[in-house]
Amino acid sequence: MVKVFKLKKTLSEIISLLREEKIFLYALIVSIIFLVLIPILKVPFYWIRFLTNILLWIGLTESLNIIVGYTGRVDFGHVTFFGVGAYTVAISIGYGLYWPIGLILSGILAALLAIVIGAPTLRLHGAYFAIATWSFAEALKQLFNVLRETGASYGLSVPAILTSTDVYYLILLFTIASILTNIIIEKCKLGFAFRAIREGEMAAATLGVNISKYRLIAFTISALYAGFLGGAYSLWINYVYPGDAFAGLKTDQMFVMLLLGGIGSYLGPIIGATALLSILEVLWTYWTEVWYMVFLGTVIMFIVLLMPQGAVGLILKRREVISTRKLLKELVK
Amino acid sequence: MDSMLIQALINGILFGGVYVLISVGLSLTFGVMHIINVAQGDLVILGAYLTYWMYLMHHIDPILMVPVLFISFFTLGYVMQGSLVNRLMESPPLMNLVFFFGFSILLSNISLILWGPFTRILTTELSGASIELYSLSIPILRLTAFMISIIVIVMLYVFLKKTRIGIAIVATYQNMEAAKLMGIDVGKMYKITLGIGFGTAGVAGALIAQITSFHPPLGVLYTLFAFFITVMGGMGYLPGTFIGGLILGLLQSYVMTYYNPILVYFLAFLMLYIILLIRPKGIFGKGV
Repeated sequence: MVKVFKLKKTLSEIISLLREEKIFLYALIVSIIFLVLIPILKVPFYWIRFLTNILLWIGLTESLNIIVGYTGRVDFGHVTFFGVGAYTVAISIGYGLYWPIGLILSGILAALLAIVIGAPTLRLHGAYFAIATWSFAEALKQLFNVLRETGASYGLSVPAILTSTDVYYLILLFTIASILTNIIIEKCKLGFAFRAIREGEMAAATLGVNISKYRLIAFTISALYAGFLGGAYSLWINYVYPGDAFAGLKTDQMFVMLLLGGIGSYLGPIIGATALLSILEVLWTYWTEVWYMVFLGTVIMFIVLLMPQGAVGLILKRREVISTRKLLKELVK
Repeated sequence: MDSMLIQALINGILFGGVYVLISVGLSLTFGVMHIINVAQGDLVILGAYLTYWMYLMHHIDPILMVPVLFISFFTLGYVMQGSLVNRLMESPPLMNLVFFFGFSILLSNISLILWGPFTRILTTELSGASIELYSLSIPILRLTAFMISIIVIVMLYVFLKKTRIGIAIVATYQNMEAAKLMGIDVGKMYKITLGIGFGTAGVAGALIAQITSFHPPLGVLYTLFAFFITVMGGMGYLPGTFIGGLILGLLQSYVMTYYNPILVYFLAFLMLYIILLIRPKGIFGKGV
């Protein structure tokens, strides 16, 4: 009963938000409708591929934003959940499971892994958490590198079941879900606890916020989306191997997109991923991947130095830096 | 069988010395500035490539590259801290971490552009040579690398204990606010600290070039190895790195001797993760 009430309240909050932040949300809705219609409009295959890639990365960066942006924990091993999702689909299809079941399993297994490793790992702070997640991700990658059952470093191939349009819709679905989750966390009361934890753990704890519970929830949700997207990715690429599914580069790229767009805002990942991938698409014709990576590294350094608030901070100028006091007032209510 | 065991022990200790050298800089940087230089491993690889390059092009002895690389990498760190990183000292720790993350990507890909993805090893006339002792063999190059590592670490220790600047760095490490009040130029100490961190990585690179094969993607693994050692010994607690280096060296050497070499990485990273969970302050509990 309480939950239904909370849900209703959240819905009404979203509607009131539509009135407040008209431009962005309307733009979002219009672009979603547009994106849904695109395959029907018979656009060239190239554009579908390009958009699928952008949507995939928006979704991944949104999922990273849930843990980094709203609880302030730097997850340097986020690609683990993506990799687990990708491998789950590959393995379950290999065992003859119907692909949607494999896909659902991919998100669930990633979320379960997040619960299992999150409970002990989330007790660590700052750099310790970053190193722990990073080392776990590398350990898992190395494990898949030696496991013969999953083809060791050669990986597994996944039968091409879906057309590229199907994959496009699949990824679009997950990405929209992840954006909605971010909006709910950022704007509605459900998310206040997360932001309170980021702004001041002690203060939040003294007011009765169960920090470890909320942190674990955030970690699990972010892993869930990364897992789903990983599963969709392996249905799209039709091939998984540790060097790609668990590539540290994927985490790097998520961080660049998040930083470029702005941390702790649902708009950040959208802007960051679209901007970076569009730049890449143009540069790709002139540059090899190595030069792209040099560019990526330089961009990270300069964003940190020059615009730590990201593009959202530059555009909005009033990026909501919620003070602890304001948050606590909300919580006391 | 018995001699194999002792041989593995010797190899482990010799490798461990170089690993300690890689991690000393990381530990010091973290202790003094609470910065984690995730580019440490990439600096090591860059140093290794420069040594390799200099030997092939100009026949400069790798040992000669030790001071050269120390000074040039020290300058790089000093300048970088002064011009870029000092600005970040007030911002949240996340920003420092991500900054070095970017630097790491930059460095490893510059190495990739300059030298390609191929695995290299520097072979000199001493490469195969070893001292035979009963049934054991001690490769001369590994022994020299170990000795140089120890010399550099001892020099660093003396520097930190006996010189005015060294004592000032230790003071900054112990209490930054108090050090500031005593008139220590904390910003300058930060510059020197990062310089030392980079410099030791360069020296380690020069040593590693001869004793093991390397390629740019290895940088990340070396960074994680350095984390393993510093976390094991306690982040920021310098004597602890000796034990950490020894553990890693022995782990690597035994796994390589008796099992699959690829397993080294898996076991090391898994151990690092578990240690972080059960004893984040290191086995002595003296980390920052």
